[in-house]
Parts: sequence; C-alpha cells; structure tokens
Amino acid sequence: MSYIITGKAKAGNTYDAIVIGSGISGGWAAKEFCEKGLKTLVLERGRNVEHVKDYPTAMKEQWEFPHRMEIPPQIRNQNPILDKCYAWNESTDHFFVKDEEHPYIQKKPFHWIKGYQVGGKSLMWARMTQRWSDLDFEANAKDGYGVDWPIRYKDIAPWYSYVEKFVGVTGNKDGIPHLPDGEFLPPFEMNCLEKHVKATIEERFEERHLIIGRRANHTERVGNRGPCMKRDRCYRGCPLGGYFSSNSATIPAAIATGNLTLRPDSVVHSIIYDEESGKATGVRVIDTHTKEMMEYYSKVVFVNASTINSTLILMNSTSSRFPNGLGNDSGQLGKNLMDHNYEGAVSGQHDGFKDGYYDGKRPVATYIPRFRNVGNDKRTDYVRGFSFSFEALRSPGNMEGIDAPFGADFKNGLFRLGSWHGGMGGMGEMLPYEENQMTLSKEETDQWGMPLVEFNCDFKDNEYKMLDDIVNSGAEMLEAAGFKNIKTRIRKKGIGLGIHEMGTARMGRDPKTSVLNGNNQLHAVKNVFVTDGSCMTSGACQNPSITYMALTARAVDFAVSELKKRNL
Amino acid sequence: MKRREALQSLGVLFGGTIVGAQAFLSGCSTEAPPVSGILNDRKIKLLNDLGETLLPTTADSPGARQVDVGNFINDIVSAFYTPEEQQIFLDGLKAVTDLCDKQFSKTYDQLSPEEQTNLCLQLEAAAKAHRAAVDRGEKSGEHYYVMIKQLTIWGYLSSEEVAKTAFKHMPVPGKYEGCIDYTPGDKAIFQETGRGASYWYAVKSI
Repeated sequence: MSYIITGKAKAGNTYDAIVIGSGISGGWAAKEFCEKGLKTLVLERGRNVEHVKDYPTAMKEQWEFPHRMEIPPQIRNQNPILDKCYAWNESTDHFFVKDEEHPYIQKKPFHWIKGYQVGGKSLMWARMTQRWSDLDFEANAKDGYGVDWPIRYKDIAPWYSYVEKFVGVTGNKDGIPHLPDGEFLPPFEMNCLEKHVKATIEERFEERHLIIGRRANHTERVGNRGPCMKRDRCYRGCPLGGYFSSNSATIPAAIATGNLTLRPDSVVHSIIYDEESGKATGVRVIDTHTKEMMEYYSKVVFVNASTINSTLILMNSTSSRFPNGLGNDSGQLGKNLMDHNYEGAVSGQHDGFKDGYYDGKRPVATYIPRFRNVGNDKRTDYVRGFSFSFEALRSPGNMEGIDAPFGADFKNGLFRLGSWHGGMGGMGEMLPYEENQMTLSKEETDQWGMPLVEFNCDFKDNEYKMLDDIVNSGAEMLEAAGFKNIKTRIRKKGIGLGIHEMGTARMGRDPKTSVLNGNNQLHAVKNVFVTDGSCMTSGACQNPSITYMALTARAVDFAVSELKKRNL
Repeated sequence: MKRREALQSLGVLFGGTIVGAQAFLSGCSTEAPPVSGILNDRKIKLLNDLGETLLPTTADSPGARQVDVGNFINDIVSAFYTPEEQQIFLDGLKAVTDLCDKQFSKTYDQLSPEEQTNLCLQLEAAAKAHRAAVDRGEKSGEHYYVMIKQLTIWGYLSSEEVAKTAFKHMPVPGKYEGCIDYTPGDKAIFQETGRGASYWYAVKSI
C-alpha cells in the first residue's frame, strides 16, 4: 500500500474518544461523549451535510424536478441495487450512494443500500421507533436459534426512555406488554377507515391490535426542533426539524458542547491495536480527497459505521494477536447477518366511508404489532413472528363510469377522489444463521484500497413459511374489515432491502460464541465498542434504530464510568 | 411501463458479480446525459395540440396546451427513451402528420375539434390493434400513441397549474385531521403522479 503516514505530532491527533460514523448511532455516541466532557473526534466517510443548508430538495414541488421526481432509466440501469430501494428518487438522490461508488460482491444477491454523509441514513430513515420487549430478548434462548442476548428489557428500558425524550417520538400508550409504551409526544390521529379496521381487528381476532405508528416525528416542539408540519417529505431532510436525524439533533447537541471535532471525507481503514497493552490506541484513516493515510488516537473507540462497514473495519484490523479481525476470537465476526423480511404485502379496496376524507399529509402509518407465537398463539410451522405497517388512503384518479378514452370527462376522472384503499406491509423476523455472512475479498479492493465485501446470505425455510402466513393473515384481516379486490403479493425483491442489516458482530454472554459483551464492548479489546446494527443478537420484528440509540447511550455511559475507574 | 421494467429486470446482476465495478473501472459517470431535446418546435407544438384533444381546457381547469406538455414530453423522450424508443416516437409523430394530410389535407392544428377527436379515436384503435398483435406475438414494442398519451397525462398531472387549480394543493399543511366530512365534488389533495400510474390511465381503454 502506498499511503503516507503523516508525520504530525501525535498530540495533535489525540482525542479522548473516537466515534467512527455519524449516522443514527454514531450521532448519539458523539452527543453523549461530548456532553460528558470528552474531547471527541467523529470520523465520517462521506461529505458534510449541514442541517437545513444541505437539504436542496426539501421545499421543491414535483414540477420543479428535472424529471418530475423520477430517475432516468439510464441511471437506474447503472444502479441495479439502488434501483430496488423504495426511497430512491430525484428528490432523495443526493443522499444515496450509487452502486459504482462502493462496489461489493454478491455470492448471493444481498442488496446493500448505503448513505455516506454526515448523518448517514438517519436523514432518510423511515423513523419507526418501537421498543423491544423480553419476548424479543429471550427469543434466542427459548428456541435455540443464535445465542442468548446478554441483556434483558430491564437493562435497556431506562435507556429507551432517555433517548426517546431527546429524540421526540410520537405515539400512543397502548398498554401492549410485548410492545412496551415509551415516552411519547401526542399521537397522530387514525383516519376514518383505519379506525374501522382497528375496531374490527380488535373485536374479531384475539390478542391482535392496530395502533397508530410510533415514529420519530415531532407532533410537538422538541427543544429547538419542529413541530412537524405534516408535509410528508421527510426523506429529503426536513428544514423545519420535524423529524429526528443526527443532523438536526445529536450532532448540533455535540457541537454545542465545544468538545466535538467532526471530520467528514474520512474512510476508516482499521483500528490500531497495541499488543502490549491489549487495547486499541486509535484508528487509521484515509482522506478521501488526498488518499493520504493518517492516524488518530484515543482512549476509547466507538464503531458506528453502519453494520456492514463496522464489521468491514473490524475484519480489516488484523494483527498477530487478531489475524482474523479485531476481537474475532469467536470466529463469529461477519456471521449471522440478518435483515427483516419485507417481501409480503396485501392491499385492497374499501367501498365504505365515502363521506369521509382527511386533511393534511400524515408522515406516519398505523401498526399491527406481532401476534404470532405470542401468548396463546402457537404456530407449529415456524418460530418468531411479524408485524404489519398499515395505511388507508383515498387518492385522486377515479375512472369509474368513464368510458371515454380521452377528453373532458376523462380529464375530470383524473381529478376525482376515488374509493378508499388499504395497504399492509409485513415485516418478518429473520433468524440468525451462522452461514448467512459477509466476508472480505482476498483479491478485489475498492478506490481506497479497502477489500471488497462479499455477501453470502439468504432467507430460509422459517422465513418463507412465515411469509406465507404474513400474506394470508393480512388478507384475512382486510377481508374481515370489509375490503374487496384483496391482492396479496410476495415481492421477491431480495434480502437487504429492509435496510435493517444486523448481527455481524453480535452481543453475547460467552466470548467463545460472540463478539461483544452485554455492554457492547469487544470481549477481547475492552476499549472498543460497537453499538450499531452489527451488535444485534437477534432481529425481532420491530424497526431497530431506537434500540441502537438506546444501546449506544447506555454503552457510552458505561465506557465513561470505566474510563473514570481507569478500567479502559 | 410494465414491459420496460420487465426488460430492465433481465439486466439485474446475480451470483458472484461485482456490482458497480464495470462503471467504476471504466470511470463512467452516473450523470444524466445533457438534455438537448430531440424534438423541434413543430413537433412540440403538435404534441401540445394532441394533448389539448386528450386533456382539453374546461371551465374549471387548464388543458394540456396551457401546461405545455409538449416541452415536458421533449425532456422525457430525450432523457428517458432508448434510441429505439425515440425512433418509434419520431416515426409516430410523422405518422400522425401523414394521416392528417392523407385524410383531411390539413395539418393537425387546422382540423376542427371534431376531426381531431376523430383522428385520436383512430389512433386509439391502432394502438389497440397493435397491442392485440403484440399479445399474439406478431409485433413487439410500444405503440407511439400509448407513449404520447402516457407522457401527456404524466406531464399534465404533475404540472404546477393543474396541482393548484384541480386539486387541493397543500405544500405545508401544518395540521393533520384524520376524519373530515367529504362531499362529492370537493377537491382531492394533490399527490405526485408518476410514470407508472400515467401508463395505467393511458392503456385503460387500450
């Protein structure tokens, strides 16, 4: 490798803490360290994105985009992976990494969607923030897939509360034991049809609920952010600060302390391990402009580069003590890759409530929490369960009774409000399988000289059996609620598109079978912590980001107390 | 554009393939080709005239000409269509002009509204026959009239004038109410219509 190590004085490159990544978990690590008084360096591989200033499309209307918000086919064809991402269009294009910008190898087609900038994917996340419960933390121990989580709900509950109060989560206290209530801002209202579907489901099906979504949208002002103006354009970045992102919330909080140094355009090559002390001493960084390699030093390193990149960095951090990647005594690094199964969807038309409509654009859907293998419900064909996102809408474009192929009546039909339609999207838990893994190519490298990631990952029998039940039980509920023309779809778009990649540096009780302990600390290198999706021991069927945030705040608290005790 | 999407999906890479490597190695850019526009002013005018027949001006809302679907179609045909599709489109516009000349010895804009409707109905029928032939495996590709109609509808529904006159346009609603009274005739909230939905409207009768 031809990189030059800069000869700068080590003191000038030394911080109390280094955080790799500025996305949803890295932002939290930065805020917590800075607020606890530690001089903190945040390394971000992408460009800087400043809140408000760098949201160029936020206020644009459809007709103001060059192609009315659609990506030209030539560009789509050049990006076969990104093209499958639901959130990529002309209004969000600037936040997504193009396929050629970070190539990887598909041994099996895993779709890796990336956001390389300050704020990472927290700018265009779906903002759903459901807590986990012991149904999830005990799952591996009970059915034997994966290893046992080293924590239980009681360990993380206060940290959920801590982060929710700062994040600003809208929701309703629904009293569902396996989907614990949180610290909620006022909930959004359900629309006429959703209220009917809720009543039907809760009356006709034992132990099923339909609740308003819990999301990081601010129905009231949170600090200097929001409130949400119901524009439903969150994915573009919100100039009103109506939803939570690193850019709107944690990074400004970290900057306000005076303790933050933010270094964008910095690809972390590896973590420097000192054989003598048995600790990490810092990181090696490649400046993406100069391609120069430099070193930064700290007492503690938090790895929050997003699941795949965090694991890539650990795997690339080899030494004579750790020839197979930093902290990889168990051999589990890169294994147990999970996503959520979003392949099943159900939709239908409802002919009632013709005299009802809604006003405004709600950036939140409703949610049907898991009901399979909960309480008295026992499936014999698969373990774990799934949840649904559900939304009812009335859209313009009502061509009923219009036979003219064009002309004034036809035109009027394009404007006319149609019947209600409802759509349910399933979100199935995927089990941790050792053979679902990422590895590093021995031959191919990228622009920065980093080895290319190879994926070998698939859904298996449990996921496919669950998928059948997702569409069948969804259709059953829509039918009970009086929907017609019910269509079930198994999309076969492929794994990875949940954009919930998890599990490649899992937490566990035993250093022989896991990478991280119950404090997100590498079992074998105590001053390196990993608190993004790679730490997840199982996947549950809740959106994971709020759990990453809670784990991060908890781990920083632990790390700082250990630093004070001189244990790190 | 279901067929086009199906064709694109054939290009998806599987198994041991380095995604993006080709473009990366060749230094190929993801920037869209510059839009110079393949249609001249005469063709753009013809598209506005055809558009006005398909989506005419009425008392309450503008017609396709007012929102200038012709220039929009030029942008999209130039930026989105393959050379083969562009050729179908250009040949189609020539076919329309020839048909006007042959049947009426006039240009499209010289026809009476009745004659224009009559001509577009003939194009509908031709597109329908083309589709039947495609289904029988005798022809392939899209009929130019479907392209014109789809892009007219898309450009029309996504235009500022239509959003603000025919719909309740709410860029910053400020509030959300889940359940309000609705009386037939009340405007629907504007929402973005894409190419896919426009295609559905275009082929509904074909």
